[in-house]
Amino acid sequence: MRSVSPTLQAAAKAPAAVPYVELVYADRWGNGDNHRYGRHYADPADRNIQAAVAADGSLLRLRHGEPGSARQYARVPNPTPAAAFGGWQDLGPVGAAEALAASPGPYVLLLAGDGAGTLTYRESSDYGLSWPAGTAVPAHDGAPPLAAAYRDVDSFAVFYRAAGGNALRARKWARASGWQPAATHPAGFGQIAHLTAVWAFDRYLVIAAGKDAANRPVLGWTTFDLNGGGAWGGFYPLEQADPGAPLEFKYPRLAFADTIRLTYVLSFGGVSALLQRHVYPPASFTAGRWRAPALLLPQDRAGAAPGSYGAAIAGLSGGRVWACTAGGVWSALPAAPLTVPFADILSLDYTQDAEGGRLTATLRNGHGAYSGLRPGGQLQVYPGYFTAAGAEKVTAAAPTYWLTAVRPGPGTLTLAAEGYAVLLKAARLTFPLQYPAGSASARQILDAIGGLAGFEIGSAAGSDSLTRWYPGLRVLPGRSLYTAWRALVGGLREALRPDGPGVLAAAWEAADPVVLGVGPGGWPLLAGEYADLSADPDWARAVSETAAALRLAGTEPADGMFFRPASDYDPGRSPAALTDLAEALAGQGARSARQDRVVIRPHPGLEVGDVVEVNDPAAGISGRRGRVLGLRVRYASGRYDQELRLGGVGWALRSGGES
Amino acid sequence: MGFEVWWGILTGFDGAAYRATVRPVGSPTGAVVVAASRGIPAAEMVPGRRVLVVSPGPLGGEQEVVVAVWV
Repeated sequence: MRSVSPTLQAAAKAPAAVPYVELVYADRWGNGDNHRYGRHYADPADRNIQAAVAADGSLLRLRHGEPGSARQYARVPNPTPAAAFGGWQDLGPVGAAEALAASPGPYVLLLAGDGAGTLTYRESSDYGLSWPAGTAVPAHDGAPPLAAAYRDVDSFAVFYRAAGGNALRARKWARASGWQPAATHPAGFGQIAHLTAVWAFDRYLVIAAGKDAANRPVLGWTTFDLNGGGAWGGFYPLEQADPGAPLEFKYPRLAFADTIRLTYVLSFGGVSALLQRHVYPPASFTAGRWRAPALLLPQDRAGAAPGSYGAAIAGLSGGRVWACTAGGVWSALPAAPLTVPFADILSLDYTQDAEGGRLTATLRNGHGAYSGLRPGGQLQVYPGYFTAAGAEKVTAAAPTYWLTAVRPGPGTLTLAAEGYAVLLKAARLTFPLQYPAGSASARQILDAIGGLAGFEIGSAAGSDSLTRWYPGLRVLPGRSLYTAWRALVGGLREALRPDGPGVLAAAWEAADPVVLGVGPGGWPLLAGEYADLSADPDWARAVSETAAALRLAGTEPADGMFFRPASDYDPGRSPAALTDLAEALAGQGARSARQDRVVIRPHPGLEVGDVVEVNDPAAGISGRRGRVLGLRVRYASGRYDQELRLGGVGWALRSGGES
Repeated sequence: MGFEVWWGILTGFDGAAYRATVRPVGSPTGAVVVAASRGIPAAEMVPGRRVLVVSPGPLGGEQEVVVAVWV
């Protein structure tokens, strides 16, 4: 349950409780802002592009064509949509490979490789305004492609292909100690055609595109400088094709905007699609949870990319995210929260359940303040009351939905939205996803699926069966991730439920404490209906070829009847994981043994999974515990109530516990 | 348990383990590794041919098996 202040509790319990609720809209789908780019500059140039935002906010662009042609550079201080973006200056002849990187301080780096083993670098010390002459990197052993990223204001790393081969190498440079020896990646590559890098909180993140050792076209990521050392991490494909497939991954570029974003070109069948992905969370880079690919900057209904060389997201400046090609500049606004005040909410009806639930709201919109709300945006609910301290609401882990429909009316706007399941339903990959049995735990697979869909999964104490099950899984291209998610969740002993914009895994145990007493002396009870059912299933059996687990979900063994079995077969589970499966089935049975519905004064902190105790003397109910499996809050003029759907609390192994 | 059938292009075959690498149709990238029916002669498992895969459910997993090869 979310924390509720004493004044809020007191106000809610008062006979004359006055409701208060706010909605907050942000243009983001899952954990990533929706960047709706507008174009501010166009010229016919079609060549390679590098872009960065310097620490003073200047937009820096470097465009380069064939070696020997003019290297063109543009610096736009304080970029705005109305800025002049056409002021290019020549910075000498183009090398065989070029890289541009901005530091978090005044330094900006320009690198050029001549393709014959010489790498020249120059570092601007005034945010890219002026450039000293180039200096050759000593003892360089590289060939194109080339990438560079600053770690901090005084150190950067350069990534390149080893001359005469296909080894991926990195060299660090520090202001105090200069160039360090090269470190070679242990992975073998068939071809390293493109590289890009960014400092990702505690290590460099490097993307390579080309071919793997088996000649498969591949786009993959790796890390360097793990924990401050000089070590490479593993190489992990994001996408790969058959050996020799007529398909190319080209022009990957990494940038840090709202989070780490990747753009790249997928060229196949005569179509070059400009795609973007991002990786979350922004606080640290660990598991590499990449969002599913999405189109970036389509120019027409055929999805044509702007130019042949992909696009570079430069970063944030002036409150905008900037994206560039050689002949174009775009910007997009990050998601800025828009609060819908209580006075503008005519009605609100939202549910929460294990998969997130749904929301419908009608807003006063005669002033047009909400006409910019669009499907694909995020909506959060802050429920509360007017209290002695003023309008109070609960904002932590707010119920979160994503807009699926916006319906204008006469002076109104009606919104329909769904919880996190809608992110899973929308996530369809253009490639298959496969985890061979034994290769990854259910937790790792769920994390990856959540990352592809756009949400994170947290864990409450005791949710450890996730890590004991190593299922096989395959999702075919074009299929929604929702089916796979449901199948995995059904095999877990833990429950997964919404937790703000994310999901929480929690073991729902019979001994879980009561967080709210409902009824006389407790939280105001408005109505109640109660039903005890036979648990379904009332016993569960899970078997492999060599082991079995049996669990009861019904009443005590001595006086119970057990005629609704559930049975599941999983030859890949360990005995412990088989027990988890039997307990997962028994838990479902235990929760099904009770179907209560109580209507209460809305509790702003109550969540799915909470355990409440109901006292309803009129119905002869005393000390009846129930698990909140679903809740519904309705607000309209003259109405503010909350309906709880309560099931059995959970499953217990020991006798005496509730089942 | 709901059985499911899908098909794809055979891109590789491990005759010792009798396992096939199949790229599902509709995807230019990515392939999955599944078992192959031992009723299909290894000589017929030629990369580029189409294969039919039967799956015990929507998740696939270890029980998916190639049951036909053609073209």
